[in-house]
Amino acid sequence: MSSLLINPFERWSEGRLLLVGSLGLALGSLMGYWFHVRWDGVIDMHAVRQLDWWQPWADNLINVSSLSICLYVSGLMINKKTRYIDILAAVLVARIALYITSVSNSTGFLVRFGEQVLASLTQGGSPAINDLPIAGAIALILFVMGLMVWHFALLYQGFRVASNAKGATSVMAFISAVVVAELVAKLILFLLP
Amino acid sequence: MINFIHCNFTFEPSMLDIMKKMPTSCPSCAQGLQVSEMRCPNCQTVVTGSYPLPLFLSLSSDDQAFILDFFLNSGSLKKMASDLGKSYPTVRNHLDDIIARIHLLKQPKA
Repeated sequence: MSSLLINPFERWSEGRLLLVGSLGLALGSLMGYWFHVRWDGVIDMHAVRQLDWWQPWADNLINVSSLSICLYVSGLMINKKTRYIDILAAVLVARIALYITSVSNSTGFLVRFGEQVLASLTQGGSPAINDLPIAGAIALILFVMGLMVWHFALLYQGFRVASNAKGATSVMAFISAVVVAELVAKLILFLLP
Repeated sequence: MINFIHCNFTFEPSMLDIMKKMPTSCPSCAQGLQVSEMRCPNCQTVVTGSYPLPLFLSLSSDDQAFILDFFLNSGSLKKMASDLGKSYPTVRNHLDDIIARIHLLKQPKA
């Protein structure tokens, strides 16, 4: 069970992975709308006060496209036999961890906390630490960080299995692809109306 | 009345072959081993000499089993993946790794 949570890509067929990943994307987009969260970048998650229903869908579709294409190009440089379908399945499944981060704003806590910090900074220089719900914020940050680590572990395992990547060069190729994908996704989302 | 039946169990050479893993490299210096003696299990005739191991036998038993599976599945990695309960790229990667090991074994030693 634990190996399936970290690396389902060695055992599950691409059909099953695509099904789970696509359902995750659909549910994740709905969660983003319900909990007022946007994923405006492949490694971003921001709580917002207002958003349209289509924005989480657009975020996720652009992020998945950008990340899968960049990782595919990177995978091809490592191994010519890399298939796009395996990379796409890896990206779709790995992003399920990111969709769960939207739960952290289920009560609107993140938005309120952000506004409190901003108000404290604009009013009197440094924020009045005692007035802020620090313990809750730290707990949520740890929760989100844990899910981010899980996301990257899944994404790298999927990339490794899809491209038979080995060694430090492969890690560098993976990191470079994620950085380029982040820039491309940010640019496309910025240009959207 | 209870009768106890005693059985003497002896291993045939063929059964031992199944249970034992044939070493392919020297446990002392890791150099590849060679065949120095072969015996006919029927008449016990012994042939001695120095024969290099065939390439297939120089691979690990896991790799040999994989190649045999691949052959018996008519080279269909998809069918193999389905039979083994693994994903297609995992099986393809195993095959690629074996090919890389065979290329290494085929390289003339300096």
